[in-house]
Amino acid sequence: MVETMTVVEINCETNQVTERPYTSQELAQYEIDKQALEERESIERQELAAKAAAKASAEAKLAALGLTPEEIAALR
Amino acid sequence: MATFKLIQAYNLTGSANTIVFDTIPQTYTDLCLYVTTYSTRGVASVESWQIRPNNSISGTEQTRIFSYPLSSPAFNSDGGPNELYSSWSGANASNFYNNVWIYIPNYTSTSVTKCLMVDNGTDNNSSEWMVSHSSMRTNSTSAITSLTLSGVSYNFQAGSSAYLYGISNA
Repeated sequence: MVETMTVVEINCETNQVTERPYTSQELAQYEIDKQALEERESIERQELAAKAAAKASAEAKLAALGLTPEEIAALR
Repeated sequence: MATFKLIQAYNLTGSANTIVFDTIPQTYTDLCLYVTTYSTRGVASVESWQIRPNNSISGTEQTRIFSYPLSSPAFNSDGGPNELYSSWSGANASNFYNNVWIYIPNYTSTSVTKCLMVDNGTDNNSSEWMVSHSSMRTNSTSAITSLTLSGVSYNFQAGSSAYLYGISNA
């Protein structure tokens, strides 16, 4: 289901609340912002996954050298 | 003695993507905004919304520290203004509240750029959560007369609320 894009405007002086649909310009900007966000989220997730993989690999190598889990934890 | 006065309160009874506090009185020293956003998205995603002083994010800068279940605490220094606040909506989180408070000192000044300080925490469950702290700097010296809150990847749902306070030094 596609949700309606609504703007709620609250006038702090008069307390008047107005609800209106997005203008075409606002809708276009929303799509631009959304796409940019999704692209950045994807990059951040890839970076986090790469860091987690590198950490796991390093810990495995340390364990292979004979370090105990407590000693590996102390290095963090 | 400082005073803390409610300027406006708004509770959403339906869905909306954007909430605008307009014509903000210029009679206080600082502003404080408490926002609780409610989401029913229910997919694994960082759900983000923007705050736009005077409906502009042109030239803003942001630094944030955040942590959520899939990451160690992470640091993000971002020259881009696209994502200002976010909360983690895990795959198991179909209903959750995201709580944010924002402090904006010296908002009436017409000679300095403005900074916004933000603390964010997701009210969810033990396995799905997100916390962050961020600071934002605008590149405009205009007094802040409006604050626009806008969902980037989702709509604010019924049950969301926003409270704008004015703080006076005397």
